[in-house]
Amino acid sequence: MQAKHNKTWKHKHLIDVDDLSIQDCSLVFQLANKYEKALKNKKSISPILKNSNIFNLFFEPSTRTRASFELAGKLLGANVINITSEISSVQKGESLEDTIKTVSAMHSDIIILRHQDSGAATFASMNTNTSIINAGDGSHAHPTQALTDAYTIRKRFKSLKNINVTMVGDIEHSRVARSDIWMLTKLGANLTICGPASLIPKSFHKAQNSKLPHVQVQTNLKKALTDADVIIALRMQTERQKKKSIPSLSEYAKRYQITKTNLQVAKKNCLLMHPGPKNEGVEISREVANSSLSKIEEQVANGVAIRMSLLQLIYTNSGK
Amino acid sequence: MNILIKNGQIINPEENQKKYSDIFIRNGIIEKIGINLVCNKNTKIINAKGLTITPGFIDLHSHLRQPGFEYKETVASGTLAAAKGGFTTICAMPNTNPTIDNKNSLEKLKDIILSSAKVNVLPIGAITVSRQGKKLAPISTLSNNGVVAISDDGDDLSDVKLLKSAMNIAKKSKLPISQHCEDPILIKDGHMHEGWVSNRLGLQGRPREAEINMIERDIAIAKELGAHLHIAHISTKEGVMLIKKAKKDNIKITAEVTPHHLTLTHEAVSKPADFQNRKSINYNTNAKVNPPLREDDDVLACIKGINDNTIDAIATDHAPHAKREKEIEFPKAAPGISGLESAFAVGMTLVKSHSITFEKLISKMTIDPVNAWNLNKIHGLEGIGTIIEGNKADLAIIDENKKWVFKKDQILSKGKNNPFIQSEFTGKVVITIHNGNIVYSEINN
Ligand SMILES: [Zn+2]
Repeated sequence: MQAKHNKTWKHKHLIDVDDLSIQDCSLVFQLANKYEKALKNKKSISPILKNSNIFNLFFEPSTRTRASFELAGKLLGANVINITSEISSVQKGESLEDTIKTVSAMHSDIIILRHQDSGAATFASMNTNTSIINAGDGSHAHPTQALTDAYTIRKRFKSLKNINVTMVGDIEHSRVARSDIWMLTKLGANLTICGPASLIPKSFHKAQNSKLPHVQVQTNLKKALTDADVIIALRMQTERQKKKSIPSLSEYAKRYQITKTNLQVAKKNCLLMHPGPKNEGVEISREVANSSLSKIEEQVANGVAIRMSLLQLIYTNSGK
Repeated sequence: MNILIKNGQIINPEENQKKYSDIFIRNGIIEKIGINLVCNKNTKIINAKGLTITPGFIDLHSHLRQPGFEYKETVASGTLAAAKGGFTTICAMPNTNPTIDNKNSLEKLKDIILSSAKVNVLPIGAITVSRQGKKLAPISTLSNNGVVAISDDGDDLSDVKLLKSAMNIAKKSKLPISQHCEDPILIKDGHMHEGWVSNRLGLQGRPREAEINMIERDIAIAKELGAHLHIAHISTKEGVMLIKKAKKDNIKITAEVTPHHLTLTHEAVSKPADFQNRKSINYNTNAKVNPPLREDDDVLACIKGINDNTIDAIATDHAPHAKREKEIEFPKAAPGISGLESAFAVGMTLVKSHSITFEKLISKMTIDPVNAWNLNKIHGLEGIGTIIEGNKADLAIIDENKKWVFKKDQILSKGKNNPFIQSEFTGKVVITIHNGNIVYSEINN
């Protein structure tokens, strides 16, 4: 694999998937596919990002996403520096703007940002010349997860066109849900979102006056799962219960847990996905999570390839 | 100095008339209005040919931040901005530090006004001590010392008992009670209108029900007690309907709307901010305001409310903030728009789109707010909002056809937070006269 300046990729930052065209996505998938194979076959990978400095700037705890980016960067030969909120000066009251500017000044090529505020990645991209990759901002977006999910589905079905995808859980507060909804509908999937009414944004119900993608809203799990090719279970965050969005986790599990029984209405050999970390026994039963239908571990592996692909595309096009 | 304004077109909204006349101002008073007036040497002559002369504008809702938040605005900088916007009288909200909730802080504010204000500043008193919604402020004392209304603006006074007591006292003192109607429980953690844009941006919403519920509640109480309820910055179509019905039922209610709620929707939040072009979505903190910018139907209902007089006044809700409070992550950004300098021009966009007439715009910025709060009954403010002989000379001179771009670096307010930055406008206040003094001018003649 050669590091070639790719003329078709024009993005300095990756804030969310709605910046990406379908061609952009194909480019990401193609490259990810090469990397996935190389990793599987233990082939050597050319250090395209050698001498580059990638900063993992995480204001929220995350093991999976951070490790995935770190590994992706290191496999491509980059120096990867981890800054987490515990050691960053944010706790001493330094603003995000100052932190971004400080990290930018450390010869950084790419900043991978995870932040609790929706819009933080957009804000960061306005305040630096360094490329920003959004690794999750508030309830807004998690584009690398969405690309990973799309890639995982695409691998099985070749294309997302007319694939029935059902997403179950806390849609309202989930950045994964938001990025997935935009990503999967853009690529042609039929999307159904399902969960308690209190966790589904009202504007999805009456989408006629809006610029939201068309999705089916369903509060009944069985109906939502009927004929599904792909099921994405979202993590139920326990703080939702405190905020009175749901009566209790067990009540939620009773109505919305993905179990072997209610999977019977879905397509045979459907894909079962979860962006992790999962609460087995809440949004998904242990039995199903560990069944052959589950692509949860494959998602994790694919995530590394997708992130390698993105790092290369962004690094080789940021004017370096 | 005396001033002679020659050949201008005078709009006197109270008389609903337009005429071409000269205005002669002596010692701060409009001495004569007539054709072909002449004057002696010691008079400044303003050639107003092609220009329109209206009463100086009156704002029922501005935040001047002093004392306590001088880094955001002062009485001096805020009134300079007001003068530039054509305003000669502005009402100042009491959410300063200290709060204007007692005689002592009120007197201190009046001293600041006396020494530094460029235009009239009329203080509004707080309803509760420190605006905490727990204990009533001495409303009748505040009234006796010159507040023109009471308000806990910024927050909704949610304690019904307290609101009732406040209304009873306000009624006796003949004061309007200006309410920021948003149910605090429903808007908790909300940063913008709850709708498809908030959904797309992953921001918690402030639902329209928050405003509707509170207006409904406040109208019921005002009806019961016969007090004067003023609805600040109305933003929902349902709210406009409630006010319309209350007026029909002869409840003592008045209302204001801001220029931004008459022209912008929640989509403004996802439009690029002035300092960056991003093609898809954005988090424009200059469009973060409470109550939030809503939807097309709401904007249309507010315009209709202006036209059928359901809404009495266009008020700016001028809310200046420092750069570091606005150029920050959206959820952390302070809500508010620094609007004194754009208010008239934004109103003119409605005139240009034939949504309202020019005369309507002027009425809603002059005589109608005066009548809403009976400001002309206040000693020293007799005749305010009109152009008649014997009045204090408070005038705005307007070039209705002037095309201009609203530039950030030309904003006089300390707060540069305004979603209309870089907008192209037609129509501008070119001279503002207050008490016979030229307090703002961009004309050399
Ligand atoms: Zn308010």
